[in-house]
Amino acid sequence: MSTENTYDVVIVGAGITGAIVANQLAEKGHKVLILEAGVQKSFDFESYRAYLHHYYQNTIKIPNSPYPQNPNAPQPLVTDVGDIEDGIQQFNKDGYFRQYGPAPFQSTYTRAKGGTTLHWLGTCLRMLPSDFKEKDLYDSGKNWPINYYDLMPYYRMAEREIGVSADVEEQAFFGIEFEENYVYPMTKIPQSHLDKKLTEWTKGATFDYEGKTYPYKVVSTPQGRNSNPNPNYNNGEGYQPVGAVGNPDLGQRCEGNSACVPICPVQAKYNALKTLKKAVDKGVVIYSQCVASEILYDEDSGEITGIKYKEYEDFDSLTDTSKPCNYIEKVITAKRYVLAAHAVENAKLMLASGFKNKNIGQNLMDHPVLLTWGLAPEAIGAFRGPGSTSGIPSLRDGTFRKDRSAFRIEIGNWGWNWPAGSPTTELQEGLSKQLFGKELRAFLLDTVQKEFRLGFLIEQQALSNNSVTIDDRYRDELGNYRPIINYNITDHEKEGMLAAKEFSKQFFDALSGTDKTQYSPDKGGFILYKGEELWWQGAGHLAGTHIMGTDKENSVVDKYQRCHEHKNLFLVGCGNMPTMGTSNPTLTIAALSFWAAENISKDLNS
Amino acid sequence: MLDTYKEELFKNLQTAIELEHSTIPPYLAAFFTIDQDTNPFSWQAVRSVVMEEMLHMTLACNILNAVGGKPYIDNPKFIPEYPAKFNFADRKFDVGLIKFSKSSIETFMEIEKPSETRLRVKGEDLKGLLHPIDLDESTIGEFYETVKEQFTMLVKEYGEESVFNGDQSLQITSKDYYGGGGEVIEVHNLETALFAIDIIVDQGEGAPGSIYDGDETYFGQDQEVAHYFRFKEIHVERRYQEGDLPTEEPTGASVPVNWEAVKDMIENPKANHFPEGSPARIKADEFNQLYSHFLRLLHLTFNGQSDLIVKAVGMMYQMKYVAAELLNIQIPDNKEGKVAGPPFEYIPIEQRKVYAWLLPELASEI
Repeated sequence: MSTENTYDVVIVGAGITGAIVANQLAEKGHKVLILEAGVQKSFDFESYRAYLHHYYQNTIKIPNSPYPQNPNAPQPLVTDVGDIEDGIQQFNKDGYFRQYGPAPFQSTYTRAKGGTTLHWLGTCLRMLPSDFKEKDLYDSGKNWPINYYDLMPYYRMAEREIGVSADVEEQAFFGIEFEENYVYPMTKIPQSHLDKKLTEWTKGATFDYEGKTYPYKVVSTPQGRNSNPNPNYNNGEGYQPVGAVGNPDLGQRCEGNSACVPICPVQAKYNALKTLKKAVDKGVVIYSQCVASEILYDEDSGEITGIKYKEYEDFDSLTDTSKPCNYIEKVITAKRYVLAAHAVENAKLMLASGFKNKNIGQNLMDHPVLLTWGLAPEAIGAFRGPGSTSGIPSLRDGTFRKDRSAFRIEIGNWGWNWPAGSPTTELQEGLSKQLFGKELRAFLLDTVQKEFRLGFLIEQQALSNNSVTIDDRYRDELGNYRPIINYNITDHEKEGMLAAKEFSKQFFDALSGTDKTQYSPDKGGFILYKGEELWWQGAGHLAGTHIMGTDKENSVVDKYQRCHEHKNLFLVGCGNMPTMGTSNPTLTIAALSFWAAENISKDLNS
Repeated sequence: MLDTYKEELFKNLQTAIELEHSTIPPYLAAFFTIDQDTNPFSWQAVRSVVMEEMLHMTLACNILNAVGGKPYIDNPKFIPEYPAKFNFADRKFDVGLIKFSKSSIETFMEIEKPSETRLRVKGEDLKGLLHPIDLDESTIGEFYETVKEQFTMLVKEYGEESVFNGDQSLQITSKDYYGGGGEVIEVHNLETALFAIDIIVDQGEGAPGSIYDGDETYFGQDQEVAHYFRFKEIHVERRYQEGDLPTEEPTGASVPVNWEAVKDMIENPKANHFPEGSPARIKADEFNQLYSHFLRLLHLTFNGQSDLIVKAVGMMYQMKYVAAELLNIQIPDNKEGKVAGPPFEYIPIEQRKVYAWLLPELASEI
């Protein structure tokens, strides 16, 4: 087996966290290599267009549709979660995840250069200060070893790197603070017509629940997509929006293509290829088609001595891409190591390497998303613009978090696309009614143009039973482990869902809309709780498999993002989060990656 | 006397606006016929040129506004009838709405051809080569050279303040320009006026003695060859590389062009060439309606309502979609199987349609 040793730092994974760490370390003069499991892809725009064509051709439009399955580095798919039969949740046993339930884990990620940012929506909310100390405040969940104020400067760096569009005065709520005179790099993405109408229709009304009232305040969402640069950014320095990789003239503003998930055709939405390209221009080397399979370490000191990986042969040259390729095993060594392969993959790799820390793989979290949907009183121009441009933050924090989950409400601009497969469903309905031409158009306009949906992102607690493990019997084609998932949701979260469902009912009443929410009891994610039908989906916010904390008993990494038991190994990504809060996690892990890179560089120089 | 000179200057700057605009329909028509995936390089090159022509038109409006003039955008003569006659001092040629082809690229190279003086590499003796002030110049660059000299002369004679007495609030700022190289600069004195002209000329013909367009040195943007050289790259199917001279052929990587994978658009499409009530006619009429509304919107934008530029962006997307539809429509009874295309014809204000979605600023005038 060949061993290479020319780098200061080896990073596993070329997604957003690996890209940021690599770029920051290269900036400081360190030699960096990234191992990426996905196929070799150049940075030219045509390579990216190939994803777009794959998406067009795919009949099933799921988040991973543009990104081909690769037997050498398989991906979980939302379609791997089956229906409920005789009260038992079914799973595709040949899917990448081996799921034992009892609840379905419905979130996925992308194993390709650029990672899951290739298909993310782009929501860039900061976490609330209270999310960092939930145990202290609400005797629920965990505490972080750092607080909001520690992370503030790194949030700023992340917002610059991603290129976040928002107006700061709208984002300071529930104790979120910004430095004096801070503005986001770009002004906010215009709110949709729907957002504005919802504000108008619910004016003065409130959500009343358990003796408390909450306002229906519709607030624009900070987004990692290009809008007009704010001339006041960075004390008047301004900001230059970053266009598509390989074609920088494209994507300098969001064009409203309404395809953010699963792929922005012009890259107006940030993806990690943008940061990776900068890193490569600074000398960072990427080895594609190299799947890390084991971390080698000294039993006594815990020091990492190398990473074993499987390099598979050229994928594109094969005609039958469903067959795995030949591979060779190699070892790479460096002074410091970083796992940035995704929460599930990081945990899997550490378990495969025989790491002893009992917390590894535990505390798996997501944001279960309760979906509700209905019709607005008039046409609101559904299916235009980004997937979501506003949310309602009223229930993101409060003393109720002692008893039930907080949630953030995301307002969806794409009709019933998520819960009901619109507008294709309505088209088929119209055709089945023998409608054609003008009549069909009128039918579609009458239904589709009034559609909207709410998504309630329910905070999930970190629990040891929700976990990623490995089992010798279940391996992928290269012989690497398939993740075993055990997952459930608690009454704490179900209570949150009850509140969410009630919110939805009162909200539709307030705006004089028609609630069309209807759940099928056989669909994965359906539950009956206290007589109320509930149905949730995954948010793609997989987190918590190697949380940070104060010691090896309660956590895997310390506040510097370094493993307690392996001092030359750093972990980055959602796996480090001890609580989810109600924010989509990408901005927070991007901020943590800047923090980690700073710590790694200091460590290398000491 | 200043007034008389200014009239002359206004006339030249209005000519500049019309000249910049007149290139956009032909470039766009060719651009729309290119298949992005078959000819990604040509697609991107022509696209970036079109974006920069829009920048040039905006810069010309900023200059005219800076000296107290008034850009006229919405009038029947503003859009040339294609094929349009381009009469330069040393040559005359037609510019039409023609699909992407070797010959349309040749025409585009004629438009963007650098002047002889500009082709000289730095250090060579330029004495005596400059053209005399003459309205019948041989290149766009030379035409702008004339305007620059006018500016310099007027400022010397009458002072900067009396020449640049326009209303500063009429200036378009850079925040809404993107998608191409360069930046919109606000013009308020001789220096900024000359700089705006340099941006226009360098992007078209290359910085003096260079194939590059100055975006890198002026704005720290990516290095890019000027329009003439971008067209040349397509024409000879080879990129320039660092060190190549403007007087010589490109020596960089080969970029094969598939001249067949092009929408077979009819030459110089006109709405009334298509039968009344046919899909081609309906869409062609719609395109002309949009284009005429759009010109009105630009007119308002450049005459005091600069915030409307955001709305103009939206209208450009609308036109793009209708153009794409036109290029998918077979022309009835066309023996060669040609498809329709965007006609870019002017519709007088009283004949414009008041669509439900039309901006109140436009609807109220009809």
